Amino acid sequence: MIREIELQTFLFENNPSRVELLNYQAASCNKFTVSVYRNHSFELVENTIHAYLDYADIKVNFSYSDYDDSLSFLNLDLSCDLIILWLDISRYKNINIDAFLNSRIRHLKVIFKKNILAIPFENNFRLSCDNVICYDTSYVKSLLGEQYKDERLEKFSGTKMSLSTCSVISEDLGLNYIPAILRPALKCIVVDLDNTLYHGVLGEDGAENLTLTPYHKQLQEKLKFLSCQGFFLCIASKNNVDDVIELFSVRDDFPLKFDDFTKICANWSCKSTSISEIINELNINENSVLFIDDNIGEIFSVKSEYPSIKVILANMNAEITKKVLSNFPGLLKLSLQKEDGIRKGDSLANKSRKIMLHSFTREDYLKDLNVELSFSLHCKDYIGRIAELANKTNQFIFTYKRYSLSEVAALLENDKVKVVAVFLKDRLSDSGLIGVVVVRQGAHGAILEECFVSCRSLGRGLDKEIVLGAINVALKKLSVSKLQVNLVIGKRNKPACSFIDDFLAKHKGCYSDFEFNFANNLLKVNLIGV
Amino acid sequence: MENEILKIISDATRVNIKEIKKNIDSNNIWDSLIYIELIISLEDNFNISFDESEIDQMKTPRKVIKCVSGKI
Repeated sequence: MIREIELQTFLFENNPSRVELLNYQAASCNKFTVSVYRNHSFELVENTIHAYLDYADIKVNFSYSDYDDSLSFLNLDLSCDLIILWLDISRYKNINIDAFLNSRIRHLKVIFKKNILAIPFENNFRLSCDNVICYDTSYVKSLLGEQYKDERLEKFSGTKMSLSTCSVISEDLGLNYIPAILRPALKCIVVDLDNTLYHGVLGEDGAENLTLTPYHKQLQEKLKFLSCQGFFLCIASKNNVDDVIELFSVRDDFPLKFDDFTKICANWSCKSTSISEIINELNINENSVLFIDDNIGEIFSVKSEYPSIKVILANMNAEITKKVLSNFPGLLKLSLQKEDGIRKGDSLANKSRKIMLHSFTREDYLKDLNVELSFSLHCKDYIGRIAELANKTNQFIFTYKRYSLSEVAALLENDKVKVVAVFLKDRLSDSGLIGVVVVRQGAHGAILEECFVSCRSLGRGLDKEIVLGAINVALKKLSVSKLQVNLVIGKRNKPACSFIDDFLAKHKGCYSDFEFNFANNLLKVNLIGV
Repeated sequence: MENEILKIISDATRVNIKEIKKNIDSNNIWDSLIYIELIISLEDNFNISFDESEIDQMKTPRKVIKCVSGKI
C-alpha cells in the first residue's frame, strides 16, 4: 500500500499508543534541525513526534539547550532551521514577565534571523515582537482539564506538563506547526464527489437522495474554510458535468456551493487526466496539490502518474476524513495575507486573459487589460507576503534563498540592500504583491541576490516588465549601473533560467551595464518610495 | 500478570523480556524519561494510579512487578 495511506491509517484510525509512536521508525529524507531553548523538558514531546513529522515528509533532528530561565541564548546553534522557545512561565516569580520575555526574544531575533516559535506553558504572555509565532497552549488546558498537569512526575520528567498534554502538543507540532514553518504550503485541494463529500453515488441515487451526514457537513465546511483561506478547491469526479451542476443547485443543505470551486472536472476520463488539466490551468506543481478520494484504486492510479501529489483516502466515516483534513500538513496558515483571499478570483480572471492573449496582438492585449504595475520600496507592511512568496515559489525563482520572516525584516533594515516589491492589477483583477527582487550593493556594482515571481502572474506577457522594471528601480536607488545576476539551478525553476538566458545573460556571474526602459503607453507604471 | 507487566516494560524500554528477566533487580534498565513513559503505560493498561512515594520506589523491574501486582 502507499506509505502515506498506511501512515494515515496508523495515525488517524488506529489511535496509536505512546509506546507505538515511540517505537515508530521514520523514513523521510528531508532533514531539518530544530533547536529547543527551554526551561523545562521537551523530550516527552519529541518522543512521539517523529511519526507525525514523517507524515509531513520531514525528518527533524532536535537539539537542546540547558534549562535556562534567564534566556541567555549562549551556546545556541545558529545554523538550525527553527528555534522553539519552550517555556514554563510559572517558573518566573515577581517579575514583569511580558517585558522580560519580549526583551529576550528581541535579543534572540538580533542573533537568529530564521523562524522562532514560542510555546509558553501554564500562562500565556503578550508577545509584542513581529515575526515570532506564538503557540497557544490554553486550548490543551480546556481539552484535558485536570489532566493538563502532572506534578507527581516532575522530578523525573523535568516538567509539570502531563504526558497527555505532551501527546496533544506533539501531534499538533508534528502535523501542523512545524511543517507550516519549515515547508511551503499546499496550494490546491482536489476532491472526489461520490462517497467523499456525501454518502451515495450521484449518477445512481440522484442528487436529492444523497446523504449528507453531520460529519460530511463538517468536512464540507472545512473545505469551504480552506477555500476562503486562499487554497484552490477543485473537483475531479467521474460523473456527468450536468449532473454535478444540478447537484449544487438542488442541494441547498450542502455548505459547499458551485462557486466555491475554481475548476470542476466532471467526466469519464481517468482522474490523473483531470488532475493534469487542473495543474496546467492553475500553473502549479503536483507537489502542492492534495487529492482526496474514497477509492484506493484512483489514489494508486493518480500517485503512479504524479508521485509527489499528496493524498487522503476518504473514509466511509467522514469524521475520520475531516480529522485527517483538519491536520493535514501544509494546510495550516500561520499568517493570512491579503493575496490569499484574492487568489481564486485572480485565477478565474487568468482564464479570460488567456482567451484575450490569443485573440489580440500583445500590444492590444496589454492596452485592453489596463495593466498597472507598481514598484515599491516601502515593503514593511508586506513582510509576511514576501516571506510566503519566497518560500512557495518554485518555478520563477533565481536562487532559492527561502527567506524567513525575520530575514525579510533584516533585509529591509539593511542600507546596502534594496527590496523591490511588484504589485500587479488590471481591469479583470487585483493580483496584489506578485514579485520581489532583492538587490545588494556589491564591490563593483549591484548583485541580484534573489528574484521570485508568483506563477499566477506569469504567462501574461509581462515577465520582462515585472523583473527588469524592479531591478531598474533598485539600481537607481543604489545609484549604480552595473549588475551581476546569481542563479541556482533547481528542479523546477526552468522558467527563471530561460528568463535569465533571454534577458540577463550578460549579467550571469559577472558585472555588466544594465539598461531598461518601459515600453511607452502599454501599461501604467507607479513608483512608490523611489 | 507478571508476563503482561514484563511486556509493558519491554515495549516502553525497548529491551527484550529475556534481558529484563536477567536484570530483574537492576536499576539501570531505564532512564528517567523512559521511566515516565513506563509509569503512564502501566497506569493506562491496568487502569491504576501511582502516588508519588510509589513512583519514587519502583526503581527495578522486580519492584515494578510487585507494586503493580499489589494494586490489581
